[in-house]
Amino acid sequence: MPGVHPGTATKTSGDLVARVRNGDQDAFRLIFDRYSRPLMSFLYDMVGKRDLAEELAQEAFVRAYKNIGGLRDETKLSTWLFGIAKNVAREHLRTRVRDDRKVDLDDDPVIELKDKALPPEGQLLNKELSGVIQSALAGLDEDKRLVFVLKVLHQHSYEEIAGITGSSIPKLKTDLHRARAEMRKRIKPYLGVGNEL
Amino acid sequence: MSCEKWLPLIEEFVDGELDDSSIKGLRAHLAACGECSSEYRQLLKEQELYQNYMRDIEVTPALWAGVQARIQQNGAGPGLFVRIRGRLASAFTAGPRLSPVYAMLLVIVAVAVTVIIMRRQGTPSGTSVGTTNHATAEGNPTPVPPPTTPGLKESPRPEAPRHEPTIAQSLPGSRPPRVIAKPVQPTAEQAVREAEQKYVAAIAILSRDVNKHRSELDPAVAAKFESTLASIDFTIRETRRAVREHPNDPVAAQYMLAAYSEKLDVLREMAGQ
Repeated sequence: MPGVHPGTATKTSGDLVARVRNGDQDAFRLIFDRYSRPLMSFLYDMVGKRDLAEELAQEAFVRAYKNIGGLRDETKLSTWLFGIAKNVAREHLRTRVRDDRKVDLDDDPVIELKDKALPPEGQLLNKELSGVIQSALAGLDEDKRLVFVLKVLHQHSYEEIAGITGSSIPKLKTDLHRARAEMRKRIKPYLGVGNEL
Repeated sequence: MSCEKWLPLIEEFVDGELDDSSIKGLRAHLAACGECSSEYRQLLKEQELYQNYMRDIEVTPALWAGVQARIQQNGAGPGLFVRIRGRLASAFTAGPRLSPVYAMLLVIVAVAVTVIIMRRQGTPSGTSVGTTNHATAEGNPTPVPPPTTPGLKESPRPEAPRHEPTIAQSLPGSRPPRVIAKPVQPTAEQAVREAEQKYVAAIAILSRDVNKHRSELDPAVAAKFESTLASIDFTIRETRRAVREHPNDPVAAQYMLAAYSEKLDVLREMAGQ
């Protein structure tokens, strides 16, 4: 967490976890306040729909509350919560039918610019760019999307991602490299000549 | 080392994962190799791009309300919980126009239960811990509750026998308690908690409705509603804290329940938009 010394954060997390284990719901509310936005953002990046992300976030927190007794290392609260969220997202993604939002590399881009042309100098408004990124994310397979989201969008360390996903660090690096390459292909046409920002 | 070997390290470098000794070698290579240097700049630009990625989401008060409602409903394992949730969902989502009605019924029941139990306990309206119990007792036909919370400064005991000898006499144990067998504090507190749970459940129901139709709201109107809800949530948090700290304080409980009620009103208004 930016602006927080790791020692302080883990000590506080440990205290909160201990209180939740003793039935202190207010302590769980503090955990919720701290992690609801990051988890919702992560779930939104994984599933691409706001209402669904909220529903999955709810499920993730309910599971966290139920299973907090199983959290062995209280300093790894963030990793543990993201692990739960990852499982919730995966369960959803594996049961749903792939929707039309998946874009193959050779397909035409799903997101169209308002005036059907690239803006001057290849510059995109943030909102449209976000739509492009969202669409590109949807085109990645699950493993690559997961690693890309956790590393590039949420800036977890390799070690944390390994803890969240259960994958080895070499595999993560490989998936991340491939994810970057695919994202670059999908986003490149929207950045204009020379990919100037 | 060839560029092929350096390229993966450039990504690790951008990610902040490269060890110090490798960083030194990489920097030297980047200074000498145009291709790798170009790749490094490209990765930095992409990184900046992704930092500007804005998600069209927000954490609404409904999220916590839903979590809380599910936690409170979930008492017997995921299997039973899923079944109960399904039954509740079918009962309270009969239609978009009916769920607010059910929500209001829950509220009415909750408020009625709270008022009845608190009156039985003789908790006067408007009484706060450590303040004018005399004034409240004088003007209030409801009996003053026997003080059971240790350490409180109020002194309602002199008043209590005048107004409710039955309850007062049950206090020192001279007679077996006929009216109220249990201590006041847990009963009133339990009633408040039950009412609170019902409010939370009603809010969760309405919030689901609101979320379904959120995209149909005018953005400016939606923003105003959200701002109001955020303010109410703050009040709920503060009053909840007060209630937890002073479980015998009916004023704190009433403020908390009033805040929940206000939230329901706002959600009903949003659902009706």
